[in-house]
Amino acid sequence: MNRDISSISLQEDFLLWVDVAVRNGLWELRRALSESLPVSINQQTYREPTTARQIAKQLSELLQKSELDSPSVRLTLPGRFFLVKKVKVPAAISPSDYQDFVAFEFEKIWNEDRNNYHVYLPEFSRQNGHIKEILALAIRKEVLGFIEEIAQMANLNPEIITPAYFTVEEFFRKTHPDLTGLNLLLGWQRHGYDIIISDEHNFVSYQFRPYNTNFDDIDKLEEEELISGFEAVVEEIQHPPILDKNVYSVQGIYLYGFHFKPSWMALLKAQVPISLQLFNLDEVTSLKLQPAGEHIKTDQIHQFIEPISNVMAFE
Amino acid sequence: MVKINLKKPQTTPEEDIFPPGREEPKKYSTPAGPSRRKDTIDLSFDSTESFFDKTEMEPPLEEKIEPFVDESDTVVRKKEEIPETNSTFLGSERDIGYKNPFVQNKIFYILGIVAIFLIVIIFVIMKFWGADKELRTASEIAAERLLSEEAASEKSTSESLLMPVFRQNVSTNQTLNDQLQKLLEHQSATAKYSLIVMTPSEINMTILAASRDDVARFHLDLKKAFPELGFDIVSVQSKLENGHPMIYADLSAELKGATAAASAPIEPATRKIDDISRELRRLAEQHGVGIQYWKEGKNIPQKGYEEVFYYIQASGSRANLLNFFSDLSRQYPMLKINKFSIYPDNLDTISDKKLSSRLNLTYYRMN
Repeated sequence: MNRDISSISLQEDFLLWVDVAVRNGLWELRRALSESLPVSINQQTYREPTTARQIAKQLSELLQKSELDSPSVRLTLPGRFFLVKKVKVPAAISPSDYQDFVAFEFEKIWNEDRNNYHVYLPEFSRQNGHIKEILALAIRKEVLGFIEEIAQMANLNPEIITPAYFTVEEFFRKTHPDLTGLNLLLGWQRHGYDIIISDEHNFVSYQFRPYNTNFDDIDKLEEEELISGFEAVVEEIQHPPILDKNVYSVQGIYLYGFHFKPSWMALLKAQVPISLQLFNLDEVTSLKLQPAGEHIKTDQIHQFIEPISNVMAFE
Repeated sequence: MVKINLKKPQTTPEEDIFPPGREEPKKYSTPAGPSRRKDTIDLSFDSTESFFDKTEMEPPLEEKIEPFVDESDTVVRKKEEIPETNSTFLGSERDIGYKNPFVQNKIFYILGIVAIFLIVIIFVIMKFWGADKELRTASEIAAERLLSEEAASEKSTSESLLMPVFRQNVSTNQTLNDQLQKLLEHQSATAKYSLIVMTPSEINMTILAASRDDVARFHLDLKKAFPELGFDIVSVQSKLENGHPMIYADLSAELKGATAAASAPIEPATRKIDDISRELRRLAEQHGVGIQYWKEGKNIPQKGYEEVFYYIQASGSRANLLNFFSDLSRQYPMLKINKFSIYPDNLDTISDKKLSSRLNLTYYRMN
């Protein structure tokens, strides 16, 4: 079935946009761009009415410039906008009672009125004996309302709004179906890493880790600081300090993100004894995504993994 | 793989499923259904209603006892009204006027014979039918006796089946209770308990400390105090508490439950309780513990008994809650604690003040 999709990934201060046309089973990447947002989204600015208006104006203009006719719009949000938690429940508990367990777990994290959050239970479960692990996701109602307001002002009417890490992990599984063991997907964002862990069965975990304690912009960091920070992060993910044993044993690391420079690969590979690859589609044969036009080259795919994943993950 | 769409209309389990208000209580006879679509989080656990509602249970059918004789079948003719005379049925010597006395007598004779004949028939019918009824009743009684014997036998079979389960329940529950008491008695200057969760196979706790060093010291102290448990630090995360940076750490240990002695006595009076909800509420009230939430979960039928799951939220002072646990673990062998948690109500760490608890129980209910 032929269809057109505009996929937008919002970050705190910039956006990624891809236009994909599906024609006879072939995915044509018609446009890929990145732009800074007129206003950075943070705890203060998202409450100001002008913020949504400015961002909506930008999105609306970008939509009008699209070559696609009336595309379906999909939106991913930064992982940091969400709280994600795995909750263990006895297998004998029926799903209708999960909400109690989830609410109880989140109570230990929230410092404010619980009614300020939407909480979701995506389809996910792992079972170990008589204990089942379910996944719970929370987002502030104000934040989701802010995003919906932007979408409404821009006349986007998105068919999907989802956290980026779920679509990236899903996309990774689809493009690497034969991989086993734990794999680390490291997204290089403006102020830190999106750290996604996946295994051959399902999503395992997500966390955000800033590049340094000052929360500095990646452009302001020296290359040496980035490289040494990368080594520390990979070690800490697997064996957090003061823990008695490894939490994870990672088999492979896949790097993506708009701010990642492929020129760092050689230096990074020397830091960790784990297989290190760029998350792109060079070796993927199961998916045919062809850049059409000169907007993007194949060696830039890793920069647009988030919006691309939102196109592929739900297919 | 995890797929979720925050935009989608709320029709799937992915959606925000928390209700705006209290969930309707689940009736006793209604099995658990799929989760409903909700808009906001329902964390109001203030319901004190018991979901153990027997109003939908049908009363036992009263055995219909058919009358031995059905009056509608009685065919007893009333004697024909005889003209008021001084004569008897068999005739008399009185002068009855113009009618031929022989003819009148003949009619009476015929009627009499018919009546006698009918009486005989009725007698015969009643005799055999009554016998049948007697037979049926006897057979019914025999059947009933057999059924009740079978039921008694089955009951004693299910009791004998459940005795080892009851013994193990007591052993498991008491182990959990003992471990909880010991953990709470273990005081540390470096960290405090924020949450303790226990199942028959593991103990998980969350502690709050000022620094990672304090977490490490607490861990060492715990290992020394409970060497048989072998606590591990599972995760560490920093958090702001009232503006101060603190460290939350999760610790976990495997719990090896004790095996019940085969000959451990179980009091007959404690084997079966007709209304577990009322009983536990009574126990809670006795100890000054409030039950905020009571929900019946799955009901798994077995041969001779059924396993019924319950989820309870209770709160009270630390001493009251621990006493409640202690009695629950010792006095109710038909209950098995699957999981319980204990945490402070309004504070960050467990203290002597009000605590809350969540219990997940299995009730082994004999048929």
